[in-house]
Formats: sequence, structure tokens, C-alpha cells
Amino acid sequence: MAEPLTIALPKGRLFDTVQKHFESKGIFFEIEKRKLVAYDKKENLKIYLVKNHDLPTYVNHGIAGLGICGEDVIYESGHHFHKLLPFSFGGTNLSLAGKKDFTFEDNSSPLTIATSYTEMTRRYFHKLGIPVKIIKLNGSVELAPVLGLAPCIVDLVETGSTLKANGLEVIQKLGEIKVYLIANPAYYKVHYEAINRFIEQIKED
Amino acid sequence: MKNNLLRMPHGTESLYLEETYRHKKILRHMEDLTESWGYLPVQTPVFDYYDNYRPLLESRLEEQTYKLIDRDGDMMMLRSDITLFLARQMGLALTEEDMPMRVYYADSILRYQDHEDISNHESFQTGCELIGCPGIEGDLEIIFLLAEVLETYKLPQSRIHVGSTALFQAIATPFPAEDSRRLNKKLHTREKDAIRQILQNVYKKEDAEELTRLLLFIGTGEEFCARSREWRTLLDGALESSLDYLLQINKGWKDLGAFADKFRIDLSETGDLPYYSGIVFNAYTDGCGTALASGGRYDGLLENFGYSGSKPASSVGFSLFLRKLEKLSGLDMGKPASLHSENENTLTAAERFIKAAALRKQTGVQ
Repeated sequence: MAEPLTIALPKGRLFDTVQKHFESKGIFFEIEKRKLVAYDKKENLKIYLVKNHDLPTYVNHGIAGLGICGEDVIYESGHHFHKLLPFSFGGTNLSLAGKKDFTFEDNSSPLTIATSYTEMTRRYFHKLGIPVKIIKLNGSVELAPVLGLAPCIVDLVETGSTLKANGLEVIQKLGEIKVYLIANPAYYKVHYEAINRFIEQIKED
Repeated sequence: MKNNLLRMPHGTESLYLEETYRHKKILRHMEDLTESWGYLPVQTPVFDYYDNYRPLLESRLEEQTYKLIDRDGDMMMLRSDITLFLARQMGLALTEEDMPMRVYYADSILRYQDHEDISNHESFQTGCELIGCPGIEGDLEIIFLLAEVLETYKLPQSRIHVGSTALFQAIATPFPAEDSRRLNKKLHTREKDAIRQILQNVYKKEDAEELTRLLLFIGTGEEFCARSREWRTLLDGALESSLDYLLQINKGWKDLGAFADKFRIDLSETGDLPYYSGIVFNAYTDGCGTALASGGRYDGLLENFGYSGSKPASSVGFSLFLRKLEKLSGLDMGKPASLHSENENTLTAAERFIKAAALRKQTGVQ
């Protein structure tokens, strides 16, 4: 029997969505409580459950050949992967947000932005030729304008309800963030036939 | 103050005892094999003037290269890629009469690596160059040599993926430089929709669709033969000569009748380095998270370094990161013979000398 393909899946909300999607395509697996490794029922896949932000590290080192994660995580990791299949689920928007009265004109250069997504933020504004000062935060970035750390933030925004609850609003949408099936490039080259069959099986109708 | 005794500069590596023994044995195997193919060793300097190489460094290698200022105020670079240092050396020394020239190298390189990337094992590079043997014969010799290297090291499933820069350039010719770079980038990430969209900026929708399939093609020689018939007529036959060349490579491989499953045509291999001019290839092995070896043809490279003979110094070669291979090789390297067993420590120096001589005689060491 052929060796199973190795795939890393992220813990959290995206995991449940991916599991449901896989089930709809005839791939069934359960991860026992406190366990982090499982096989699907047909043993075609060896699945590792990892933290979202660690997923690129596992795939980059070839521990898991494949992974499913958002473009934000891919880009921030700085690693290069094959982005083999985009999914319609799990997508979100990267947005610039600030207090309701925020205007670009109020700020003496450079614009200060608090964010967890430092690389994407820097790339976006540098492409526009706008110098920015970036303050790295690891979460709850909505607090930054409220407490006066920075006049605006860049964050993933789905419904906007957290922003609203903190008196903030979206100033500008910077881009759409999709979820992808990614592959370690060398792993793909060795296993491309099996991976292409897997893509055919899981691609959305 | 930081305790520097506990820190390792990024990109450096120390080997100890049995690991060093294995490294040396693996290296010796490579040297013996390449010498049996008629290749001679060359040694490049540890550092050189940065300006000589600046236009030829792709951005990643540029970032990874350690630079320093010498006492005259010139910018120097530490050896981060032996191919370029070798080209400079050969460009000045090589004459038309010397060609074809077959050389191999094996040495340490220094590349800055992020602390998270220390397992990349890019500290030791070995490889072969065939200079002055243009076209198919030279290309096949280098690919066959690499295939034999992979075979004799008894690696897990390994394959050489051969592509063509000429084919990619024929498709990308009508694009502005920025779009051509973007197309290559998207090809490396295999983003099918993005590739199709870029191609549609210049080509008809159905051509863009077919060119996307072509650029993402990976397959056996037989699969490539079947598909290439459809692709010959694309873009008014502009791709024909590049496709035919790959068919010749495939035929050469087939005629050899060896290493049957080690070869794939992979049109997404376009080469990262700006000096590639013909075929490009990467070798991949199960269990290695990056390419184990990479190479290609770079016919104009030596001219950048002073070669001016009337006969072109066409070059083709590969480099291999030996430390990546060491972890995966199934080759039995034996164990180092140790003189210092518990019992032998009780012997006098003279007794140990006599015993060592006897052991050497027994194992045939001169």
C-alpha cells in the first residue's frame, strides 16, 4: 500500500470547516481528545493537528507535506509554498481600521499602525509609497486606538462587530484573504501524482 | 553581556566525530565517482570582490550572502555559491585548447540562515561543471552523472525534474519585465488561476488556458511526448524548438535504458538564477524538504568573468547540498576503527604503535 500523504490542519474554527468539507468529499477522520495525530479511515492521509501559526513551519520543514491555512499565515511566515487549491470557505478581509473620526490628514508622517500582520501591512503601504511605523501586537489589536498606542490598526475583519464594540470602523479594505491547500514544493514534486488525485477529490464543485 | 560561547553564528555548522567521519566518507564517494567520469578537482577562494558577482546574484542569494569591507575599502563577499566563484576562476584561466573541461568542487559555503532555518543544511556544496561541450551531449552527460550520484548513494525515491528556460522565455517574451517576473513567481507557487489571468493579458483565452496547462506540466517522458504534439502549434509554432529539445533529452534518457524512474519532464522548472540559458533541473528526494541538487545550462556565464575565446565556453553543471543527502543516504560507510578501547589504554605508546601498524596491515591501509 502507498504511504499516506501527510497534511497539517490548523486547530480552531477552520479545523471544523475543513473536517466537514472533507466529509462531504468522502474523507472521514476523528482526532481523539488530546491527540494531535490521526489517519483518515482509508489511511490515505496522515493528519497532524497544529497551531495555525505553526502550520507553515511544519510544512516548510517537510514534516507535513501539505497543509490548509489562510494567506495571512502563509505570508507572515515568510516561507514559500505551492498554493495548490483555493477554498471558498474560511476567507476574510484584511482591513485598516480606526476611530470614527480618523483621517489620514491628522497624522504627521509616518503613519503609525498596530497590527499582528506586520509583513502584509508593510508590503501594502510600501507598494503605495506610504511610509509606515508598525507596532507589532499579538492579539486584541482593537485596544491600540482605544488606549492611544496607535491611531489605527490592520487586522482581519469578518463581521466588524468587535470593531464596532470598541468604537472603531473599517477605513479601508486592504485585500481579500483566502484559505489554500499548500504544499512543500519538494514534497509536491516527489508525490505530485497522489497529490493531484487528492486535489481532484477535495476540490469544490 | 551575551555568552557567545553558547551561541552559533547563523549559517554555520560544526560536525563531531562519527558525523564528521560519515561526512568525509560520503564526500569521498562523490569524489571517487566524479573522478571516474573524468572530472578533476578545483578549489575556489573563500571570499572575493562583491562587485564581480552583484548582477548575477538572485535576490534570495543576495540576502543570504555575508559581505565585508577589506582594508582598501572594497566590498567583499564570502563564498555563498561555488558555481559563481568557479566561473570567475575558469573565465580567467580557461583557453579554447582546454575544452571540453570537466571539473568538480566540494567545499564549505557560508550563507546567512534565519535561526528557524538551521535545518536547511546549506553549509557544504559539491558539484560538477562541464565546460565547452554545447548542446544535447553535454546536457545528457551532466544529467546522467547526477542520476548516477543519486542512485549510488542509495537514497529514498528520488527524481530529476528537467525543465527549460528557453520554453518559458518564448512564452514570456511579449510581457513587460515586471509581468514576466510575476508569471515566474506564480509558476513557482503553482497558482493556476493567477497564471491563467496573467497569460490572458496577452494571449487569447483558449491559448492562455492551454499555456497554463503546459507551464504546470509534470510527467514521464511518454506523457510529455503525447502532450507536446498538441503544444507544437501553439503561438504559431514559437514553442516548437524548445519542445523538440526536451524530446531529444527524453530520447537520450530512454536510449540509455538506466535510471528509468528517476526522470520527469517538468515545465514549471524555469530556474531561479538569472544566468540560466537552456535546460534547468532540480533533484528531489522523499524525506528532504527542499531540492537536494539543482543545475542547468549557463552558456554565457564565463563571458561575464573575462573569457573571450572565439569558441564559446558553454557550461552545464549541477550543485548538490551534501549535508542534506547525508541524512538520507543508505550507503554503508562502516564505522571508524578506534585504537583507544579500554584494553588498549593500558598499553604503552610503543605497544600501541606496533598494534596500529598490525591493524593497518590487516585492513590493507598503506
